[in-house]
Amino acid sequence: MGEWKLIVVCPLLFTCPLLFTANKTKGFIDDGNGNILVGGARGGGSGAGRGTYDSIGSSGGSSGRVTPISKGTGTGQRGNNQSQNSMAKAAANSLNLNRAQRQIYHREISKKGYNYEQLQGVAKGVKDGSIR
Amino acid sequence: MVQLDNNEHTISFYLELLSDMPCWAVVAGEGTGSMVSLSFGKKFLREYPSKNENLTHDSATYDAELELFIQFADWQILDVNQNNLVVCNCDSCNNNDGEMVSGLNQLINKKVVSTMLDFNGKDFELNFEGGLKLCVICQVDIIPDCIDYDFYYRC
Repeated sequence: MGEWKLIVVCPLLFTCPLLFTANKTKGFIDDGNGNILVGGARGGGSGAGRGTYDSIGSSGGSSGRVTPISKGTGTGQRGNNQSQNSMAKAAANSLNLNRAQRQIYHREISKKGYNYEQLQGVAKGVKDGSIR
Repeated sequence: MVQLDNNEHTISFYLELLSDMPCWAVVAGEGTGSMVSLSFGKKFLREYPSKNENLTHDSATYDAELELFIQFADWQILDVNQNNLVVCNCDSCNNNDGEMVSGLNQLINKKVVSTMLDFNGKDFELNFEGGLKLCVICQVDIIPDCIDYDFYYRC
């Protein structure tokens, strides 16, 4: 009988704290007001973005599962697009552009097909205010 | 004087703002990979118009009430009326006359009729009138030190 008590009590006392800890490590944060917030990736991994954590189920609109991206339906440009992303980002980071400047920078380099040196030139112009 | 709102808001806040807003410009193309910015809501005349001659007049001339700038997130546009046919996505050819730009341009002058935030609180969908749907899925867990997307709100 004593053993049965142990089996029943242990899950209640020990697994709940363990589950809570696991959730926290996966990016779930208790905001101290009874809301569990979903942390992590959105907006800015580097903290520069806007639109931070959302409480689960707090959306005024609907919530559900976003349709997964259909990989392989593009035209094989993934590697090229990603290298362009990285190059544009590297040039912006090299000048430490803030979020408002990044918006201007994106507008200025879009549809231009610039190389890295040209991207840096635009980033420099945005940084010093000659491009705004 | 209209200014960029630098306050922190939740994603839900922006998604609710987007409802009923028309998309009036899209900026994407050669040199910027899969990055795209979409302009919604009111147009505010910029003090300094862009000198990028490849932009449309509206993109070069106006700031948007709300701009969604997708940077490193994955995204795709689906046509709901054609069994979720992929119109274009972040892998598409971004030539200025290519699949990505022409697909994104289909969103211009379309209103956002509804939005959906994923249970994870960060991925979302925008449903446009006419049956097109923009799905945005975060990737910064995979690509460190990057921004998935950013909202620029002016008020």
